[in-house]
Amino acid sequence: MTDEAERWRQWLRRHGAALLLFARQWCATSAEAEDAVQDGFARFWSKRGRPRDQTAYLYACVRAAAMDLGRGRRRRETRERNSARGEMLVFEQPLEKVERQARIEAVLAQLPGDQREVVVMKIWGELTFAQIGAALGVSLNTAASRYRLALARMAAELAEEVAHD
Amino acid sequence: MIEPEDRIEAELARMRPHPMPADLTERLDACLSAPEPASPWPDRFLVSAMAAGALAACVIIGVLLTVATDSAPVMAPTAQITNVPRIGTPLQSLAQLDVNWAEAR
Repeated sequence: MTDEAERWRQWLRRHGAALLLFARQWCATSAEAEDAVQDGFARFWSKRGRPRDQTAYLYACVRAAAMDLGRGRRRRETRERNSARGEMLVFEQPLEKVERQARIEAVLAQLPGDQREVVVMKIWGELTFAQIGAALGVSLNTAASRYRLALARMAAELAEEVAHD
Repeated sequence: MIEPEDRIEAELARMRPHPMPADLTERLDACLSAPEPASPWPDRFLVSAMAAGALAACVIIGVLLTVATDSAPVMAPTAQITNVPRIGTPLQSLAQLDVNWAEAR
């Protein structure tokens, strides 16, 4: 086993859950997201020597794989609706916070896809805005702007829910 | 005062996504353990060398053909020989001489 393989094995142990969550943003089911992670990782692994930022490239590969898997089956609008309405519980939920987290997760699922993926990459993937921009093919400022918009939207949605409660 | 966006960000950060299922981890492990594909560089070098060799051969053949064409023996143009002795020439000369002699007198 090479050092590089071991290094990526450890990386997956630490960030694999975030990578799967990222793929899940574009897939209707958990099984499809798992396939997307596998396909994306295989693409990344075969060409890993080329990109300068390997983590950003891995995310880009997984995103491309997830979209490829979904493309033949349904339109983008349907996919976003499914991922919003489908299997909602993609986070571990401590019992005392189940309700609040379920709300947050629901609001997160309702975000536009381009904002949601930035949030996932930033919060759970721990990527910088530069890496997110590289992975998505947008500028650093666009990535940061999408992130801020997403948080503002979520805050507004959740504040509205609290007000209604 | 904490901004609502910061609060949401903190709440999101506290949420932990589900870990990868064991079978996915195994599948990724298999990908990591797979033997390295042969590097394409030796093939590329071989193809490049063959292409360069073929090109060089074409150039050499072209040059040889050009040189061979330039140095091929060329038939010399048939010389216009005007003073070839012919039958009757002495009589004409004599006649000319006769004319010259007569004019001189």
